[in-house]
Amino acid sequence: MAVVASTARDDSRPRLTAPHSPGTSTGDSISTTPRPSLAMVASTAPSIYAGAPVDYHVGPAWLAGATERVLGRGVYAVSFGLVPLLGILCTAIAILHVLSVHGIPYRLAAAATAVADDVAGAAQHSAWAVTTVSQEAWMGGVMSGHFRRHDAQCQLRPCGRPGEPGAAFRPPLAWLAGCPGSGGARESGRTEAASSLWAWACSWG
Amino acid sequence: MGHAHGYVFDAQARAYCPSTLAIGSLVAITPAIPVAARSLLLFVALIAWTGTVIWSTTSAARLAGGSLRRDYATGATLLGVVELPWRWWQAQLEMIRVLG
Repeated sequence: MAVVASTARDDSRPRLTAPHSPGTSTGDSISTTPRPSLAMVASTAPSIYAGAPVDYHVGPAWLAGATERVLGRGVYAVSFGLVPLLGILCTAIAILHVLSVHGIPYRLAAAATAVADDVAGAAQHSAWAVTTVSQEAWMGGVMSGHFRRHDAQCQLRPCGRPGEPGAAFRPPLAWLAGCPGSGGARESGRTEAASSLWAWACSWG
Repeated sequence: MGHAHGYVFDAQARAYCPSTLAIGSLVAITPAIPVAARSLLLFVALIAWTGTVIWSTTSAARLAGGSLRRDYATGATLLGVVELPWRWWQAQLEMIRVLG
């Protein structure tokens, strides 16, 4: 019995795709409500979200799917927000716990944990995070269809226009790019900041 | 041992461990759970895990509070405070990068 959410492609890795029909869950699939389903996005806007394999443990997908079925919402909040946060908290406490049990003074354990998590990967992650944040800001703007206003400035192709399926998928960080309805930068009046961020994102693209 | 330094996690601070193992085990056997009860069971488990981790973190932070007022520990605390949202941010971006 395979532990997968869906296997629509050529490999057997788990995917975070909702079934096409609600209430048709099999023993091996996560069934969520059909509204802005990832499968729908994948089928209509493959260049934006092509149903890429989920390269992390399928557990978050199970939990997110269960939340969606019970509450009718929460797939993205659980997948991208709650589970990573809890995982990080558990990891940090576990490191401190292990070090303290083995006789490492707490202050040294705390320093080691912080340094291991923050400094060691800084060289890699700083450049990576900058570019990824930029990409995320760009993606949020593109998917909301909001980015079209900046095409001339950024030389980006428009896609995911409002009302189209591609615009339905809003990344958790969409507010960063000021996507409509996200309560983000644009709606809070920080239009210039959002525009600057987009322009900056384009410069990295 | 760590006890000599006046610091050790209490039972509340250690609650993260069994709860995480429990939800991990539950997710592992999820395909074997009857469909009728699967979603509700996972949802309840998620809520329980969330509450336990928050409860455990609260205790760990309280225990740690008294030990972080001297020398380099202050810097370590600042790094740790920055670490949590930073790591959450990284995790989210990494998933978005993979999925996108």
